[in-house]
Amino acid sequence: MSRTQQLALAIALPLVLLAANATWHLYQRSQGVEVRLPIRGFDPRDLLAGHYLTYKVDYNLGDFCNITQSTQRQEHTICLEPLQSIADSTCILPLSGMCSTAGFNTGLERFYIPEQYAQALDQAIRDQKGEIVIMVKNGKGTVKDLIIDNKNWLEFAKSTH
Amino acid sequence: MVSIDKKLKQWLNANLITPEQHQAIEIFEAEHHPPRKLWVSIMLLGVAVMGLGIISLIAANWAFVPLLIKLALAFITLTAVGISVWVLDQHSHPLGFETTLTGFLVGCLAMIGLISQLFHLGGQWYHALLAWGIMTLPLVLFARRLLARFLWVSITLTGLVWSVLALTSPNIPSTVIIQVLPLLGFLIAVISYYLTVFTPKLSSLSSSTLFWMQLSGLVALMYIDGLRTLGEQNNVAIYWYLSILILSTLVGIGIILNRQYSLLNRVLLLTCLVLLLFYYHPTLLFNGSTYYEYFWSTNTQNIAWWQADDIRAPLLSLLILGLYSIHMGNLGLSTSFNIITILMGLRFIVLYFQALGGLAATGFGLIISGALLITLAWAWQKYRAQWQRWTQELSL
Repeated sequence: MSRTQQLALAIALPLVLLAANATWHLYQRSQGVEVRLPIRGFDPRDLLAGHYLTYKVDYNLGDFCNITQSTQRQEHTICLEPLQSIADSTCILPLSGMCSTAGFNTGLERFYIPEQYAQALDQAIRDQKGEIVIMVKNGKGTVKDLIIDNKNWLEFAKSTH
Repeated sequence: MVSIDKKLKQWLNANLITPEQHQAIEIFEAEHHPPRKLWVSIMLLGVAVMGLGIISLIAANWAFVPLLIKLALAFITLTAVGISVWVLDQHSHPLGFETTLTGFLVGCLAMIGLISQLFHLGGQWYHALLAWGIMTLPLVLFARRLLARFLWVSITLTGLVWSVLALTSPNIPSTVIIQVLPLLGFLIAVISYYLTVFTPKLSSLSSSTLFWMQLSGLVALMYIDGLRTLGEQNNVAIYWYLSILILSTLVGIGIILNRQYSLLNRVLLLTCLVLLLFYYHPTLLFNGSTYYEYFWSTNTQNIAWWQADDIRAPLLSLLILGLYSIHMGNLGLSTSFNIITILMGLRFIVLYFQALGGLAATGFGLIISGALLITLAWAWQKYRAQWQRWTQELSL
């Protein structure tokens, strides 16, 4: 293979990988079952980390992780339909994540927002008005939207601005 | 070209070169370094400004721009930069090639950030850096200048070190960061260096990995020196000791297999490594007691000076630096040899202030301190060359 061809391949490699990654996430977003879950802030920690909100998803299952050591982590699958803290063979809609001392995390605990609306959205989540819309398929969840007071987060932010 | 023209005129006026030689050099330089095409540079600047404008538009209005349009705009921009890299390489424009290549590398990293933002991904920043490093490795091997290669090595090493730290938990405990990061970073940097030395295709990255290996080594040494001097003891989980031992073994294998090293170099480096590992061991050489009393430390006990951590630490540091300076001098690396010997002098001065901190604040103490500094500087200037010659003649 000539140097020119090697260079073309080296340039194409990251482009192809990034495009494949973006396409995969687009596909994930359009697949599965749509679920709406309430979210909570974890006071007194700051929910704002740069340009994104961090929160805890309230699965209405209580504290089911029972992990005490900070270094310990354990894979765990809950069931969203019917609602159960451990997914068994009867589960129709499982959601997998990781149990740690911080609770049950599925990678859905982050939502990017423009900085100018950060304070309003931060307050709304503290006031327990927030919900996330996720798509769940094969135990994997993807964040689709953030809902505040039954409105899309952008509509809500504009109305308060 | 301006600077060489000026120099040539100066040399000609000083009769260092003849007019014929002056002319010959001018012709040679004109053939080998043709003047850069200004219009290409301006076009490149225009492309960069347009790219920045598109990214700014996306960043400022990203909430209002539909997701697919955002993605498409970003990919079109990145692809255009990628094509520019290839075109500039074909037209043998080294400066433009290098600039766009660096821009493309940074653009790929920005693209990972944009995808995370658009899809609200909860991944860790260090995994993003590592993924970027892996996907852009083939491209960075085409870089001809140090900047792109150094940028790549620095970012990828950061991603790699933090990813290894996060193997046990993505929320890395601060105790692990404080206690493990300096040594782990150093060991990974050394392994990366040997990887770039032993793999011919990666050899262009070896100067950057060498830089990080030496810097992280000095940081790891200074860090543990400071900790021990203060009488602090660290104790981390057993799997970190095992990880460090495994990595140290790999480093040892790298030292043994390096054909550039003589037996003396290998022995010196392996001794430095073992001494550094002893340094990090919480109880093997240290007990948490200091001989001198510092305003920040209350660990002073009635122990012999040779048992105290704040005496053992500088001695161990000086020993490690001394052995490493012999290795550097033996290899004929004068700059590194000079830096290491200066650091030895600095550590000696710090030891003096440790012992006589209170006295140094008095007029008499200041006179002694000044005299010590003058003596050290004089000794370094007078004996450095002799010492380096001695190290170069050493062999096993």
